[in-house]
Amino acid sequence: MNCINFVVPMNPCSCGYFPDRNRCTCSRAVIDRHLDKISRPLLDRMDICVEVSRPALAELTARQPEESSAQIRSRVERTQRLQQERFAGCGILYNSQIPPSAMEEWCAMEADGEKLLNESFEQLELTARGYYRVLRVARTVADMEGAVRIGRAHIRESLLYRSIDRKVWDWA
Amino acid sequence: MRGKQGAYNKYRYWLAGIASLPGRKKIYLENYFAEAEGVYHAAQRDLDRIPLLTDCEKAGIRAAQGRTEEALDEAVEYCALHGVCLAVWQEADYPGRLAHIYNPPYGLFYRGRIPDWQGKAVSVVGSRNCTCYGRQAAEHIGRELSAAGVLVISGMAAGIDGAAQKGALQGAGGTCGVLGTGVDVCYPAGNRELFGQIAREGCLVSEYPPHMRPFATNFPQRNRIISGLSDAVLVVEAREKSGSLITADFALEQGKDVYAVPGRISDLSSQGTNRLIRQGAGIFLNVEDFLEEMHIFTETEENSCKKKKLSLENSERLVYSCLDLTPRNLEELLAETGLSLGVLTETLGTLRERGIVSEIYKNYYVHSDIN
Repeated sequence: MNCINFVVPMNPCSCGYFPDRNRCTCSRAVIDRHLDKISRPLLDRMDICVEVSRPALAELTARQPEESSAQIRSRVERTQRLQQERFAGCGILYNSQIPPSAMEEWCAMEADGEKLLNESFEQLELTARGYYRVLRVARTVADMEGAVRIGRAHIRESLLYRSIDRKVWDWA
Repeated sequence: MRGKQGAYNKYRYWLAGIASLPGRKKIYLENYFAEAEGVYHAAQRDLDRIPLLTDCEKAGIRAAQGRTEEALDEAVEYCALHGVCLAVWQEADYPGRLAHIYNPPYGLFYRGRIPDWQGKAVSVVGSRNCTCYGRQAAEHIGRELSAAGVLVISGMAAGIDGAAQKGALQGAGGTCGVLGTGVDVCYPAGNRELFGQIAREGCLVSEYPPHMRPFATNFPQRNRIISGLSDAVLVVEAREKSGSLITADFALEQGKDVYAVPGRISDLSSQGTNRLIRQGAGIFLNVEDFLEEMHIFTETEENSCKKKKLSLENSERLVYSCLDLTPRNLEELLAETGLSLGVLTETLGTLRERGIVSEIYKNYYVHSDIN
């Protein structure tokens, strides 16, 4: 279960400039049609959605030392080891595989974090699936920091990655 | 059903419902044949005697005459059943202002409560593809005008029109949507909620009969009614070529004031409005000034348009000041405020809970109101 990494890019609208209304000439209907190409249930299964904007030239040609891929890799591996220790003998490897029944055991939240997640459940009209996915991503965010319990900030960050399934560009 | 004998009534519904005939010619025909029934029964040779009618229009009338008396009864029944009424030229419910425009509609189908047509009325119009700035300006203006007792008229379109009317529903002045479809047809479909609300709490009017679909040619014609019903036309956002500019043209033709909301010179969505200002339109700066120029005096407290004092904590003030009515995304805010992701998102959360900042798209934020 849950053993593929599915990574896919997508434009925000047909012309690609939305929401910059000075360059994007797509009407609401065109944007809706564009986004409708991906069904909501499919979007709901995406754990992490991030917007990538066009980089500035200065960023591309910057000579300052940046975090290397190797460094990032070691961070990720450290987090993975943490998870493997936690799940030893349980037949799962990663946070994404935590079953809902084991949420309380492995995804214990601070009170304020839980409050935020509950509010967001209503506000973002999360599905049951969405709820657990936010929680699993938050678990990973907490693991990256080495936190035992999931805090409010971890939930916040996890919610940022929640997909653009709420297609409200509040126009009219 | 209102007034007159049923028989008389249904012919007026019939005449009002002929889409291929301009309003002024319908009025002429009714006078010519003494009443609408006469037009229904007119023979080809009677119509041929009227030089005003083109062949195409005569054919349109002949085609409409093909509808049986029973069909006419049914049409009136449908209207009665769905709360659709008809106000014909020179009837009490017919807006007096329209009588003075070129090519007034013969009759207006309406749903909802008829507003006081004698009172002050301003139409607020603009693009369908608006920016966040335009949408918020429209909603703000609609709300404030309505609060001052002004009737806000618009075209119920997506974008500026709908936003202005949404705002206007919150005030006492109310709102009137002038449609390019039948008053029982919701167009665009995305406005369903607003459509229902205006039908209940405001008024929907249309020159076109029930069931009329949204043909593209209906809308420019509809715009003359929007401007005709109002004392002034206020264009919030319009591109260089925008239907809203047609409304402004009609307004000038009809001797109404035209106002435009200024925008940045770099914004495509404000090029039409800025050009209107260049051509001499009034500049809309705030509702108070506007009302004063319109000689509308209200008893409501003056400070409604003043900047609200916000008591904000340091990080909140910092984030709030980095935002305006142009959507900013999280990344830009991170760079600009220098706050950590945790603090920034927490602050945005608090600001949103207080209702002064909105997330209008995933991870894009704006001020919730002009003030």
